[in-house]
Amino acid sequence: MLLRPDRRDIVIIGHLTGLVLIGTGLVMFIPATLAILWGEHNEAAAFVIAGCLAILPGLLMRLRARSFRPPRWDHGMIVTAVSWLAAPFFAAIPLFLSGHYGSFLDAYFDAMSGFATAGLAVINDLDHLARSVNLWRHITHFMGGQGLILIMLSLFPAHQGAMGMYVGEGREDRILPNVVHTVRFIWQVSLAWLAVGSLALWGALLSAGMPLAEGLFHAISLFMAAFDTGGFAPTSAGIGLYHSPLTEAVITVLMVAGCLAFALHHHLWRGRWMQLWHHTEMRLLVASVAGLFTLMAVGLASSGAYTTVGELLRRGMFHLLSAHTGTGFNSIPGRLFVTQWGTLAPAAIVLAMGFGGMAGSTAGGIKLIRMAVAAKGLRQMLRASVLPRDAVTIESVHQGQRSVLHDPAIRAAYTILLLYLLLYAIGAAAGLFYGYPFTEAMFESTSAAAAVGLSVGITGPTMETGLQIVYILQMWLGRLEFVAVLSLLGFAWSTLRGRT
Amino acid sequence: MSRNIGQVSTRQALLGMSAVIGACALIIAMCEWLLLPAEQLPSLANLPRSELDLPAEATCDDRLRAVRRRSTSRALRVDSASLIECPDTFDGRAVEYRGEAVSAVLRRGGRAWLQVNDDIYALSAGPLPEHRQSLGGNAGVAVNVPADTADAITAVGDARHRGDVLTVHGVFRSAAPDDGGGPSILATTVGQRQPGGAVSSPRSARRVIVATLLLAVTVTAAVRSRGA
Repeated sequence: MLLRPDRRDIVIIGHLTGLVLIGTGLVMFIPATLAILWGEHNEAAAFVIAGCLAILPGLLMRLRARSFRPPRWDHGMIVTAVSWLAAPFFAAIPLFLSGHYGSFLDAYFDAMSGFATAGLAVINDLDHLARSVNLWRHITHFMGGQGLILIMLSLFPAHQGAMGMYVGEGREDRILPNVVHTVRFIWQVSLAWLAVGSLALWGALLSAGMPLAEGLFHAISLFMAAFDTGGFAPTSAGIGLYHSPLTEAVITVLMVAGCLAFALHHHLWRGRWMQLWHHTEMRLLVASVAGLFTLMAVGLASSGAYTTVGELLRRGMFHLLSAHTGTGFNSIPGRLFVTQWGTLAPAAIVLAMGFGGMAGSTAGGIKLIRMAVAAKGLRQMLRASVLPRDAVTIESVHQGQRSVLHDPAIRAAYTILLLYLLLYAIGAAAGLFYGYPFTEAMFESTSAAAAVGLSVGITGPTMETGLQIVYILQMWLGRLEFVAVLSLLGFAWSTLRGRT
Repeated sequence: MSRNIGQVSTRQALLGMSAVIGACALIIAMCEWLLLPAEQLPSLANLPRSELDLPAEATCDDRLRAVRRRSTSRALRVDSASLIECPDTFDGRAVEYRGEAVSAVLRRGGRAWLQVNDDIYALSAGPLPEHRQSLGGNAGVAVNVPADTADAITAVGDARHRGDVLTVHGVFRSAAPDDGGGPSILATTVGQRQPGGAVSSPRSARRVIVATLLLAVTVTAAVRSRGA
């Protein structure tokens, strides 16, 4: 029986959502400051306007609601779902005011794509985009990859209900006993990687012939897109602009680092390197990459796309890892997946995108742990069916420590797996409705729902509005892994139809 | 049926949602008002979207025929769309390609890499910041040019510049061995160069005023909320 929420629930949700928007608005003053330094005055004003508009709702809630009862777990989930709709709205304002978007919906699409670390884009004339706006697109990857709730908890740490919001953003791993300490650790790791990764990229780009200042700009932007497995690039040519195997290698390391769970980063940070060997998701990642690359290599060889093993390895492995980690960088034009790569190699890409990275990382997709749990659950069922009735079959996974799999965990994995497959199918059906071939519609839908960003050309400034809305919803649902969104829908239903 | 006095009624919920939607609509309307006005381009409807302007469903044979019709020399006068849609058709062929150099010139010993765009911004309308009309995305292909050509380039396209427009003669490779299999044109000569230049757009006094007002309101609200 659903009970109607009362005003205090609305106040709690409004207050916490307001804090997330305050955080989002404050971050916008970074590109605003840089825009002033770079002489981009129209863009600077746009960031100030957007930042203030984002901050004001939160401040108004603080003025109206001076005290309220502690939030529950479900409040946290709802706040997460609402925040992930509201924050892109305000983030879209400077994008729209740049003049590079045909409509506010287009700007909202790119903002959602940024926060969801998808990397699909509908921007017009990216190659002539103001530098501050270009950087903002990459900052949205950094914010979304770290987590909007994480940013809010960093700025306003003393909050009950933090765990509900933290989990609602698709994070289940409790790295440290206290959520606030966990948040601090995640920032510690990310900023360390930012320093090292940006420097490494800068060096690689300089060796590729990039000018000094331009190289630094590209390095920082590319780092945010790679480590947060986003996929926006500073130019329309993507990673293909640089023609640099060293740059691609550094980016590959960052993409893989980004798809590792932060809990695994914690073990590595503490010197426990053997965790890489024991970790179930790491083992599955290696096996999956090996298997899918074999499929891809057969496909590329039979299509005749490349004449040497070196070319096949470089282009094939880069795009496979880009897809599997959920980054979505491409070093060749995306249309070549259709016109040059045949059918089998793109199918390997689709599978990689669908599987995704590790749970508790910035990657999207079904997640390797769920694939592992589902496979082990199936194995347990098969063993139970052939072994004597009294036999005890146990399956376990290792995520830092070994834990036995029980039925609820197996059921939960299958539920989310099926929801993702349904999401991929719905997006593909929408593509078919608009007349795209099945293979292309499936590719683009999986890319959107798994927040990857590789595109065969369906996503662009001229894409259909209905399809745009479908992909926005896919990115939202996929990034939050359904639970927070279902909480929001339940809350909305109870508000309208709940019992008094 | 009695209702807990604190509970939200359906009417209140719908009013609340309408208020939120209304506020969003107001913000979007304000953003539309703050957009810089678009320049009216002459005969915008007649500007080609690409050099060939073929429909998306054109086959590779259609593209090859169209390219041959407009080519006056042995080199095929191609566009980036044809090269990417039909890489095998044009692989290894002598081509002529025209476009705007964008992003950066990457010098590598005796040669340099360029990204050369042939979209509507490159060859017809000019960079978007100049006219502020949304005319689609970018399209181009990588070109590998001799070092002396790279030295002669005066501007590359970015937010503040229209890049030099180059006419490149060379060979198209769908999987260039010197680029690990990436598609590119290996340029032998680069003729006819139109120098690029600075691009400017007008400053918006409206935005500055609105930004200043909003900043003042926000700071006031922040001070009051801290005091509350």
